[in-house]
Amino acid sequence: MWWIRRNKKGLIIIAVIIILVIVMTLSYLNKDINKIEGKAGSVVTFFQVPLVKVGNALNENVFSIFRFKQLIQENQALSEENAELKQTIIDMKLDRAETESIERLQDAINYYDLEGNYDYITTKIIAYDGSNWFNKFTIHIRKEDNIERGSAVINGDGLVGRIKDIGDNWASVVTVVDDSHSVSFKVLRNQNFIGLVSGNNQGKLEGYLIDPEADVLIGDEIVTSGLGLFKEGIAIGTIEEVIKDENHLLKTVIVEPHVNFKSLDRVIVIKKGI
Amino acid sequence: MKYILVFIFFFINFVFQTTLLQYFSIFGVVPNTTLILIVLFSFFCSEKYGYYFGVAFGFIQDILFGNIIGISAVMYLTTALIVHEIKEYIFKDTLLSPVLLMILMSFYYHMGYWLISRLFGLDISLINIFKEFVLIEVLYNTVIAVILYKIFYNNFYTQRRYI
Repeated sequence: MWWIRRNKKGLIIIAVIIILVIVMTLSYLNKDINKIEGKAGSVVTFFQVPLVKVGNALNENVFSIFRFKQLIQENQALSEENAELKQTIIDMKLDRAETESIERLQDAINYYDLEGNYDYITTKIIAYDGSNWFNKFTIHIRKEDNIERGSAVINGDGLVGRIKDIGDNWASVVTVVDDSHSVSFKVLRNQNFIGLVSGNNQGKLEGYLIDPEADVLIGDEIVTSGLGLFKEGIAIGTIEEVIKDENHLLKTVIVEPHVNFKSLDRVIVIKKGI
Repeated sequence: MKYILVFIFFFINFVFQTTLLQYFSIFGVVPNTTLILIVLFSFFCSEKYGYYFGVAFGFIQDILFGNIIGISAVMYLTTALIVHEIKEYIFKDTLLSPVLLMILMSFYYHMGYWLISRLFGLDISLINIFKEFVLIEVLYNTVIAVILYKIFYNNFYTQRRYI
């Protein structure tokens, strides 16, 4: 007994460490978060939201003054892009007229179209991972939005990630490059080439094509195929490297994502409609 | 009362770290201010602050951002423990002590985090994380620790105002 009494403090610390190891194992086995964790996150979120607003205001009003040269360049590039896009819209409107006539045929044969039944919710990022280990962040949500786990998160550049956990007024997002879950993709140039990519923990995506004979090239655009959780046609990135592995009869690709995960502030959550 | 004060201090730090600190990132790397506070509080005040608030805020960090809940909590707790064990042998009056301590503990935190992640099957290469952020973060942490060291030294050490 005297030994226990003398080393009481050490024993408490060892006990706490053992409890933490048990918690780690439990969280590894069971990926869901429970109510207490959701509440703890909400308390922190309550204080983070106003601070993020302050940060955004500072960034937009004060810091941008020092970047006016860069802004002028950006402005020029955007107006050029805008001109191009306007032309594309005209072309697409012509295509649209054609599709509409086909869609009328769909109604005639009672074909139920799943596409287009998506809700988009624009939201702000409220907190970033402070430890540099992952590109994870939490976003601000409202309860009435009814966001589900696994919903796709995108921004203007393309696929950002998916919703991992949902608290009362916050949801954590795991980015594509950190995610161990695979995303099903297809090559935009030839949409018969499909495959799977997942994060390789080095800021890139790594995956393989289902058809080893598919001739993909470096620089090919890839988009989501609509076969998995995510809807079809979200831009993912460009192929950076193609490795042909003779032993595994697979074609491995390394993909550079479009999204810059270090400078995100607004994201869009794609919610599945009814 | 002392505990409430230190808690508020840690809480403000955590909110700041996850929000506004992102605007002060260098090469996309931000300093881990929670770790710095745990080291300095354990070094100059009582290591108990490191134990309690290390576990508490490690948990919140893991819930919000982590893959496996509890890794940061364990690393913060053991950081406070190590600082407590070695602080008798470190001279508090020289600026070299926070530099050494911070470099040592930052490396310890990342190595430990990496090791536990590996045990749970996350495939992360050590060389890669060193190249990407660890080295920059260690430097950044050390710079901030040196700045904060002066404040801690003047308030809690020379004036013997123990909180």
